[in-house]
Amino acid sequence: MDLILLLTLLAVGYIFGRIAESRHYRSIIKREKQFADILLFAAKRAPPEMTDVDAVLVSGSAVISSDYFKWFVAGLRKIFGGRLRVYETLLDRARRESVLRLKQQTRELGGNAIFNVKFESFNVTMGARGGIAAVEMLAYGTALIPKRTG
Amino acid sequence: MKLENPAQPEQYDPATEQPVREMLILLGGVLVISLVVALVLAYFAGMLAPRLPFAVERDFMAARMPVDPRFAAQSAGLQQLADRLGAALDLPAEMKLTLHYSHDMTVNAYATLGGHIVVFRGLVSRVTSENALAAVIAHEIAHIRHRHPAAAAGRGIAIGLTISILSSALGNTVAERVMGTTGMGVLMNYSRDQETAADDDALRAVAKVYGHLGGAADLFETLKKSQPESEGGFEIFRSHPFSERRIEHVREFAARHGIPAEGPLTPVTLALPAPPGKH
Repeated sequence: MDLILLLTLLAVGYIFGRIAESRHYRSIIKREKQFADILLFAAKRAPPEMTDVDAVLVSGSAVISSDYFKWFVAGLRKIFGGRLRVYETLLDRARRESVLRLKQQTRELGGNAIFNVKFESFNVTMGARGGIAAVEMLAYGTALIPKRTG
Repeated sequence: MKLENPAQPEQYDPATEQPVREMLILLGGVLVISLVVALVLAYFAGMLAPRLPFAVERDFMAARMPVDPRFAAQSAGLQQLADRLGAALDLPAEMKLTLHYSHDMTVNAYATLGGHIVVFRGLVSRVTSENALAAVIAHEIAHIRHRHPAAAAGRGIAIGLTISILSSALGNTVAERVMGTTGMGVLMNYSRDQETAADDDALRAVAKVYGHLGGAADLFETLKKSQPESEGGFEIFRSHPFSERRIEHVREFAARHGIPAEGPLTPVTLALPAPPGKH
């Protein structure tokens, strides 16, 4: 009986997780092209030629949940060790989504470059006994906004 | 200074990811390890369980073998026969036998934990002599004497417990089957070595009680001949695999120990109640 439940949850997790993931990736790739003109740098200081700007803190965060299938495979993987591929895509999606929101905010402010970009990740655990995991990725940085005249 | 963000290569291509394959490989690993653990545990449980005092088995089974008062006379008759055979087998004093007559047409008998032996009506009505019935009962007593039911139960519980790590419902089913009274007889599958040991003891007991092996030798032949085609075989052949080799073994045993293979047969004196109505 619990085997049937397990197989059902695995199938649901796999099918819907896969649909959600590929849809999300398509959307990410499309928007990354739209925001390609906003540049991102890890450097702490802007180059000297970019002086006539205001510095504004911008941030973007995204929370992505794993599905039952990913959680199950990760549980098995934890026994043997090795690359947690099923969670790698999860974190990749969260990171890129947070960057897109960062860029979105910068565009709204009229800027086109963000310096000192940093990431924080948080583990959001749902349910008792460390059930299905979700991850929050927070990106923040200093957007350089051309000085507004007047 | 030139400022640019070159496009990053895609690290994850959904087309090349094979999470299902990964899951199956990992799951296979877990199953193989569980199987090895189960077999190792079963091996040790099968070895250790017979070392428990027999009283533990008896206490465990005390409330689990209901006595049917309607067939007290039949059970008592079987008990008498078993006690004679038990004495012939030098059964230790603490191994008390309890015989149960089951009003069921199944052609079988089985021994279980705590010295309980169940003999079915089907078997009693088929055997042509008390000698043959004694051979079957002695065989079951020998299983008890060698603590085979305890070993089998130990193995069953160990395997059930290991399975319950993976699936609690499935593990419970296995453990319940082993410990429950209904499945007990069916699940008590003994190895060929255990059967041979029980056979030898049974023949020794029969020879001691009757002075010859008559009836025991042709027990299986008699049963096989009277086996109706339509019923798809007797239970006894499933739990005690029938073979020509086994009949041969009886004759060999007789020759080796200088026991007459034939002799006067004692008729079955057990009065059987009317067979149960067809369902």
